[in-house]
Amino acid sequence: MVRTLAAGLTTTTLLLVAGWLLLDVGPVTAEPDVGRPIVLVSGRDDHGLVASDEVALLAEPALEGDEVVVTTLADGTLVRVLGDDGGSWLNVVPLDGGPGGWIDDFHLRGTAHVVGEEQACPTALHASVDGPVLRELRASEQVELLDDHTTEDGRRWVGVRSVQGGVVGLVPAATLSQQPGPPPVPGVDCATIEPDPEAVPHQH
Amino acid sequence: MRATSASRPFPLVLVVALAASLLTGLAATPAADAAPLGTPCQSSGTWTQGELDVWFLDVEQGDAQFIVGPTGRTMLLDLGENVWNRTTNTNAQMVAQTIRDICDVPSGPVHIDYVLASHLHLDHIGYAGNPHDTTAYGNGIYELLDPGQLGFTVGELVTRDAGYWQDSNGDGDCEVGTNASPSPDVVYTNAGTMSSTGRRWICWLYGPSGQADRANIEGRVTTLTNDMPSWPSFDMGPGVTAEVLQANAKGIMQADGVTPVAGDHVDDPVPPSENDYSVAVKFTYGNFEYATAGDADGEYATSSFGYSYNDIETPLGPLFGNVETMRVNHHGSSHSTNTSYVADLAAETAVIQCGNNSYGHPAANVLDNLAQTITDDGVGSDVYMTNNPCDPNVGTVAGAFNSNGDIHLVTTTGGAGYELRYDTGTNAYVARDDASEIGGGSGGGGGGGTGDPTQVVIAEARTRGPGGASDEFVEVVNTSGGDVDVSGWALEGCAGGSGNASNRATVPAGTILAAGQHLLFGNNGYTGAAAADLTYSTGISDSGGVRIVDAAGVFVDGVGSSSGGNSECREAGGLVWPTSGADEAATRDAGNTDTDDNAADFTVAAADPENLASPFDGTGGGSGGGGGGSGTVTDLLINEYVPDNNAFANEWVELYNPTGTDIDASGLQLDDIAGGGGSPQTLPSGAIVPAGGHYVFQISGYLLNNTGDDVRLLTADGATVIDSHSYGSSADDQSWRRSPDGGTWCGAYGSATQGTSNPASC
Repeated sequence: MVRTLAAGLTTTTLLLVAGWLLLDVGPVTAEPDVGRPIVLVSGRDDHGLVASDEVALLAEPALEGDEVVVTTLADGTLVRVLGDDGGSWLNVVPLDGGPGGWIDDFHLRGTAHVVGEEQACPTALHASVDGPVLRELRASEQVELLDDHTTEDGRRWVGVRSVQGGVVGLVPAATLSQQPGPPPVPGVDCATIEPDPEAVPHQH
Repeated sequence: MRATSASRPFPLVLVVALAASLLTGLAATPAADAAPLGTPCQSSGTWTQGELDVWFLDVEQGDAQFIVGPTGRTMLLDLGENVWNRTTNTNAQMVAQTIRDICDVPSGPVHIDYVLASHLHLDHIGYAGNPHDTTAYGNGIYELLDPGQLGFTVGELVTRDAGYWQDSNGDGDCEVGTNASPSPDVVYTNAGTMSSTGRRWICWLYGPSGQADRANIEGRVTTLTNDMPSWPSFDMGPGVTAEVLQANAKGIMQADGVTPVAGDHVDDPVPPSENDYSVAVKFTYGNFEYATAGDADGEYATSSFGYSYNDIETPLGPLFGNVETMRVNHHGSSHSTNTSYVADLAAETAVIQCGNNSYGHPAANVLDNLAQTITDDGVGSDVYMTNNPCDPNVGTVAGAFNSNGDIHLVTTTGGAGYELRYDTGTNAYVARDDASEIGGGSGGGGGGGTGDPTQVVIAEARTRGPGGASDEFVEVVNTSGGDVDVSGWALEGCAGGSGNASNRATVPAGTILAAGQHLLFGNNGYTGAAAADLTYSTGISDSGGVRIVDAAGVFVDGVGSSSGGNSECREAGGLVWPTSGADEAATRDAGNTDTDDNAADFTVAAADPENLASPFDGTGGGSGGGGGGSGTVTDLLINEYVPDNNAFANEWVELYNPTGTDIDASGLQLDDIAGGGGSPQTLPSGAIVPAGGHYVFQISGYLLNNTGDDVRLLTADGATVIDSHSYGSSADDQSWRRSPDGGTWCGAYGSATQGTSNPASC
């Protein structure tokens, strides 16, 4: 039995997903009140250590020994959630393309660390793609994953909500990592990130 | 106090999800009748009546211990799995059969008196099922106790307080949720790196009554909460004490010294590891003492994986004290088993439960620490491993006992000794009473401070004995009033002809000689009763000598023959070694007088070699920094206190003993301002403040005002003030304290260091 996403997420979320898929996403004007249609594939164990670099994407939910493997996805792959089976299995498809299939929630994560190009430096949280800066995200700050958008020139951005502070905005997908980056180094200068006072943060 | 309100918003999505579930037939699993109890452990089993049995079960990279008391009462401590979604050939199925064998229950469920989960990781508890699952998950402890699976029964299922079920959506069951649709049904109390393993555990333990998979645990769950007035003990039969010493990281602060590890840190940028909330339990039977503490860490550090390690071990070590056997924390992780912890436990035997892994378990620094531990049997703990090797990159650990399979510890003669039975043999050990153990206080010597290294002397030595020319020994004793670190020191022998010195044996790093403690070197042919702590193979000439040098090679003490020319060992004119072959030695007087004249300081007397485990000489005080001197209650000092407790369960006052002997503070009174405030509170029986150490008194209720008050230590009759301090307005969990221990009071409050040394400066 497969439930579609509609069975598990709110109308608000669906509208948002549809809107982001159909429109050239501009400023974040709404956010899902619950539900994360984008999640990270994780090969990590309870300790956060990598137990497997690759996670099997299955043809259907199955216990160990009964799996039919469609393909494997690397630890850290971003996938879109299409639905669930009413239990802990999610029907997913990689954002970067490839076949869809099933992964148990044990191997998925709804939060990630924002690790900028300068890994020990803060990252800008944008109101829209290349848009004004809402606020500075600390180096490796944790965010919930909300949805994604690919620009016409092929750049992928992801809508996120900061775990602490609840501000919603966009960051480049390449800055998202399950694992935090190195800690800030005292005395090392980072590029200044200045929030745009005209940008309206979405506080919760 | 436990939170009573939801910490997350009420999600409409789950109402929709529930409706969808109900419409598609995914209703909650129907309730089952309570199952009859399983068969208790039979006296015909392989456990040992009248003794304490501990099986370290080989579950590969994970933990499971099965403990049977002298009358057959049982405890399963952890039952870890290696694969979260495994349902065939699970560790639970294997452990169930092992328990049946031990308890002589041919088939079916066994009744276990206690099942205790150290912490909520897969390799310790397995993976719990949930009624919402569409695939039949459930292994580990869940599989063992689920009536629909192995169906074992339990008297009490004991767990730490990570969180609880709150039926936020009112649907009557506990949803684990997914990362796409998180559930608010689980509210966290003390948690950091929480995983689906933990959420499933919480849903199973605290889910709705009547849920079929909960039939065998309904009403039987004991949660170790931080507001318990004291940690509980377990009834494992007559003569056995099994007491919890730590859970949920109660009272432990994070690296900043201010933020408690306890509490809900799930959304913190760098949350504490779940390992640091592990339950610690001490078992005692007769003289035998055993320490186990889950995966507790022993350092402050930040993992590259996004969580923090917190030092649980250092304050836990003194609570355990000297034990015979320790389970090595966290499978031998490099972040655990610190030097302070192993020194406090001084365990003769250490068990590492590990299997094939890529985490570097057991780590080299852990093995080094164990190898250098000073125990009552000498230097180094005997290491046992459920598998060897574990991490292939670490390779086979040389000298460890057991290579694959369960390890069985059983006490002998009511805990006077114990055996460890492994795959190719059995090793027997003596279990010493507290007074005979390191740190046990025998002999009356020992100060808490740093002693004078120049007062370490050779107390007794010989160049031959009843066993011939190689029946040699050299006994060293610390005559100062405090501890002396003799790491890297060496025994050197001087040649009879040239008199030149050369190395015989080097003392391992981390070796501390307490005041009055002995260290014994022996040649390979040594035949004396006390076992040599360190051995050597190149003999000493009857016309030669021996000397002790420090880590820099500087001469500390020596004794050598008067014959021959220059000798780098002898002092003044030297002496004549006894050569009769009798059991005798060159011996200092009872006071170990050292005038730097061998002939004057030594006489030939019956040999009486003593080693690290021997009773310490009663040197009393001395010139050791801060140590020495016999103490009375009037020597005690109020050293630190917290009037405004928040994360701390209670207000507390720490006492410090600056003397060289333990002080019994039982019956003393603690009070606030004279002539007003609260009533004095009495220190309980057994309130011992160790020499140079601390004792923390937990105040019952409230005594110290947050806005300012006095704290006073009074004699038992309340008539005399032993020590007092006045303070002003205080802040949450911040302490007023002396710096350093016993020093002057700091002018402002600061980060609390309950039960451990205060900072050197304010």
